[in-house]
Amino acid sequence: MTTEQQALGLLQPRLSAAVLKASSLCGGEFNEIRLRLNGPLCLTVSGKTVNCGVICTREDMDSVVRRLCGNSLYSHGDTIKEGYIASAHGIRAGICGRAVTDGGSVSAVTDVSSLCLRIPRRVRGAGDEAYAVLEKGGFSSGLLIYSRPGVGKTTLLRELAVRLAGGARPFRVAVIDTRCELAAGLDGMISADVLTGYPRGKGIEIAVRTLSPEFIICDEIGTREDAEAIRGAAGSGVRFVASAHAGSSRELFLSPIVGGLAETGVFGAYLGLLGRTKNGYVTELTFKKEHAAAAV
Amino acid sequence: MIRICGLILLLSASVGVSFTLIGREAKRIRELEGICELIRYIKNNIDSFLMPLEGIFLSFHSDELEKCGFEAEMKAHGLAAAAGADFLSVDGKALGALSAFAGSLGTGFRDDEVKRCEYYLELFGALAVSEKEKAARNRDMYRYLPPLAALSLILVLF
Repeated sequence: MTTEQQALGLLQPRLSAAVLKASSLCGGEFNEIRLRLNGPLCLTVSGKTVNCGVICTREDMDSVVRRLCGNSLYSHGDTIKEGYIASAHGIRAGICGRAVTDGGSVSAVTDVSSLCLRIPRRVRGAGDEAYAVLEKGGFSSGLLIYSRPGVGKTTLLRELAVRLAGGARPFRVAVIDTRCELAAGLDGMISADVLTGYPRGKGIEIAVRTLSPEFIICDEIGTREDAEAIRGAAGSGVRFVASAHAGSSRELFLSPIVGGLAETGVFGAYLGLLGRTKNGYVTELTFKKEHAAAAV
Repeated sequence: MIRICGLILLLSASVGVSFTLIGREAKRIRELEGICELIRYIKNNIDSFLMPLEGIFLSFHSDELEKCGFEAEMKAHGLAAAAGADFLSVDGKALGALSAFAGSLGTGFRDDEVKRCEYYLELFGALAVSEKEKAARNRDMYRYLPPLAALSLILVLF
C-alpha cells in the first residue's frame, strides 16, 4: 500500500472520495491533506491550496486522530504535546486544538480543530545536487539546506541519506529522525542507522558515542540545544547534513543559531531551496558565511 | 423394565441439571475474573509502557476467555467487537459495563486511561464478588432441588 493510500485510509469514506476527485481534477500529486473543523477539506498540490468541496465535522476530526493513533491516543501523548502525531506509516500530522497547560507547558491537547497530514514521497534525484556539492568538497565538510516551509527540505534530505548510505561510495550515516518523517517510506531501502523519535541533541550524542557515523543527517535545527549538540559532535570529526527554516541566505545568517554554527565552520556550504519546479529545485549555493556577508 | 429405565432417566436428568446450574454460575465467575485480569493487564501496560492497544490485546492470554472465544475475537477485531458479540455468559449489567469500557478505551492520555482502568477494575471486581456470594447462596439449592424434584416425581408416578 502506498503512503497516499494509507493517508486516504485515515479519512472517512466521503472525505477520501472528495480527495481523490479533487486530485484527479487538478492532475497533480498532493503533498498535504488539511482538515479544519467546520471548514473545507483542502489539499496542497505543488504549493497551491485546492478546496475539495466538503466540510469537515467533529466526527471526521476525531476519527482521523483515532486512526492516526491506532486507537491509542495515550501512546502518542508526548508528540501530541509537541503539536504532531507520527503515524506508523510515516505520515506526520500536524495537530492543533485547545491546549491544556500545566505550569506554562502544554500537558494535553483537546478539541482538535486542525489537522495537516503530510504525505512523504520519494522524489528520486532530489538529493543529486546536494550530493554533488558534498562531493566537490571531498566529503570533508557538512552541508546546510535551507528554505521556507513546504519547499522540500525533508524530501531532499531523505534522498541524500539514501545516496550517501548506499551509493557507489557508501558512508556510515546516522539519521536523527526526531519527527518520524525523515526516514518514512525507506524501510529496507536505506543502509543507515535511523534513530526514530529521539530528541535531536540526544540522538546526536548517542549516534556519535555508539554508531561511529561519518555523516549525521537531521532535520529542522533551530534551537540552542541543537546547535550545542552539533558543535560538540562536529569536534569529533563527524560531518553534518542538516536543514533549517529560512527564506534567504541573509535570513539564514542573521539567525543566532545558524550564524553561530557558521562561525565554527561546521557547514562548508549552504544550499538554499528557493522554489520547486517539475524538474527539481531552484537553488542558491553559498560556500561560507563571508560570501553571504558580502552578498548582504 | 421400562419403569426402571424411566427412574434412571429422571434421576440422571436431575443430577445433570444440578451440575449444569452450578457449572454455569462458576463459568460466569471465572469469566468475570478473566475480565478483571484483562483490565489489570491493560492498565499495567499503558501505565508502564504506553503500549498501543493492539499490542496489548495480542500479548494477553486468559484460559477462560480463550475457551469461550472472546480472546480470539478481541485479538482479531478489538475489545469493542468482542464485547458486543455473544461470547460471554455474564449478565447484561457486566456486558454493558464491558462495552462502555471498550468504547472509551484509548481515547485519553495516560493518566486518564489508568484511572479509567482502575474504575472498571473495581466495578468488575465488585461484580465478581457479588456473583460468588450469589453462587454460595444458590449452591445447596442447585445441588439438592433437582434430585429432590425428580424423586418426588418418581414417588407420584410410581
